[in-house]
Amino acid sequence: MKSFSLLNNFLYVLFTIIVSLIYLPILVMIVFSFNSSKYQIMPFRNFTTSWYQRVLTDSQYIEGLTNSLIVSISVSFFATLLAFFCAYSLVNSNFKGKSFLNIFFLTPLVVPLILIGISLRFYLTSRGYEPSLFLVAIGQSIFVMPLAILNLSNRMSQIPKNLEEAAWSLGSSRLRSMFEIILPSCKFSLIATFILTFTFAFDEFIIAYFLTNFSITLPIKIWTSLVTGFDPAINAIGTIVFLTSLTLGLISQILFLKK
Amino acid sequence: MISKSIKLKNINKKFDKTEVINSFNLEINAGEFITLLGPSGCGKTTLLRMIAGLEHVTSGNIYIGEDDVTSVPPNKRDTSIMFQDYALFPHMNIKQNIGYGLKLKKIHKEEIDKKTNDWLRKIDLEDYGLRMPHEISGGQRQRVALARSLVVEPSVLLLDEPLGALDANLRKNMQSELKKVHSDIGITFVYVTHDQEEALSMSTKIVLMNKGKIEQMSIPVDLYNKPKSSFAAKFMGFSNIFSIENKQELDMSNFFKILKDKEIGKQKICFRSNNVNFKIHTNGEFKVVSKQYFGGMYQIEVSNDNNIIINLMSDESFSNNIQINDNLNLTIDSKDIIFLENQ
Repeated sequence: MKSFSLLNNFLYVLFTIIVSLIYLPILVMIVFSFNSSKYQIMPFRNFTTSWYQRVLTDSQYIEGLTNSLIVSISVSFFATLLAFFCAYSLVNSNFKGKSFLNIFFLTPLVVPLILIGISLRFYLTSRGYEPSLFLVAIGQSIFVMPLAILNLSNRMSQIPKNLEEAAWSLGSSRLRSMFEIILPSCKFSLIATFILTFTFAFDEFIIAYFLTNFSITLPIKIWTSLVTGFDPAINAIGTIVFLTSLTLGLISQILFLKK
Repeated sequence: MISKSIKLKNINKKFDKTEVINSFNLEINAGEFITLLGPSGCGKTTLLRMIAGLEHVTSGNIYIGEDDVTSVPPNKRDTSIMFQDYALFPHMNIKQNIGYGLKLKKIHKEEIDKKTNDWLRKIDLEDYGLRMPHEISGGQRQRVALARSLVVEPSVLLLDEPLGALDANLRKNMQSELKKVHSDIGITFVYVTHDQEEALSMSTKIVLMNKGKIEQMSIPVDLYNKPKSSFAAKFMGFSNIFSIENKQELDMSNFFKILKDKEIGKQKICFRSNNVNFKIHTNGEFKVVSKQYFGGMYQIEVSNDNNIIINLMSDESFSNNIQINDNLNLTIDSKDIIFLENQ
């Protein structure tokens, strides 16, 4: 018993260390976002919200934020919608090479983002498309799609097959049962997928960097600010983004649990 | 409601390369309550799903009434199917569940309302219309599923072990309820079950299936009393199946001595364990091997020098004092011995 509780304590300490490693830098960022000093060093001077005021009145940050919101919302809407149909066909049909195709659906998750960014840039510009937010939306959709398909097909495979069969036997067509039986059963998963893909697209930097020129998203704006010298306002915007992502992430996790 | 006949002509079904249904022919008359009975894996559910259109046939034709429906999708067939787990739509309340099929038929709203209310009354759930499926009991869900299938007035109702998930008491009630519904509305019922008691008590005809083929098709009384094969006998609860050399030679005083393992002799026979009479006798040719209590009854296994093991079933009061290794003398009436046709 004694050695058992010793191990238990050890695991507890380990867990604490890991969680601290993840959240400590973020905590530092949050603390410094309220620090009046221009320099990112201790000691903490005075409490201030001036960085927040600056961010929220800076037209460049506001533009980046607006662009990011437009792109991310379109990406998550488009990806969730398309993923619903993909997941339905993956779960409900049995064709040759299905499992092979399944692997291909999921590879964008593991392919380095820089490859997706570069190849899409070369391909799309060679087809005569100018780098723009629209291309960013396409690139990010490709990036988040596997995640959306994975989430939705997970849920759909839990829905008993005979719910739809009962609907068919009562006179429902396949398309109708998809919308009237399957869609309502995936309600929470759809919302959760929408939120999750939104947070992924909102944070995404590499693909966006390669696929746009002049209209930039928020992560690109943050990066350029960092390159040209440190601006403490970054702490403020980082805190806003972090807290929003955290809240949305938690909501989507809860929704997944609700099914 | 209009009742229709079903005809299955030369049906074959393969899943990948395994043959599930093999040259299957069956004619079901309009208005019949037919049961597809058999062990799991015999193809009975697949057959039912093929009639519903939920499963393609590999070859062969299915007729409902006069129409060849072999390639007609399930939503265009005149059948309704009821599943073992009821498959009620979890996001719709009871009333919406029952009315779903009517909504699909583009029937007027007031008409839907009237019909669903009628059915809610018929299944005794008048005040439950606004509840969700997870808020009612298993037996109630069962009745909702039945109402949902019947409100669309199908010509054929297909039932896939619909009572399998209910407890014994509820099962008995539902059995008689289903029978009553059948005689009230008079449409064709095709019922799938592995429970021979259920099949016997409900159906007008039983199709006993084995490995994708019909083993025997009879009215319940005949299947119970005159099984044709050792498979049918075993399935209908005959626990004593043996063989003898020649049918003519039956000498009742010597009967248990001439029994052979069922695979050896020319003529297969069977008899029920409760038809064997026995008495303790010091020179008895059978020895008690095991004894098991079955609530009011004992099942006793005895064996003789030829290693023939016979199952006996008798009243608790009568067999209470019988011990393992006791010697017994057995007798049986010749009318209780059934000669199996298929060898």
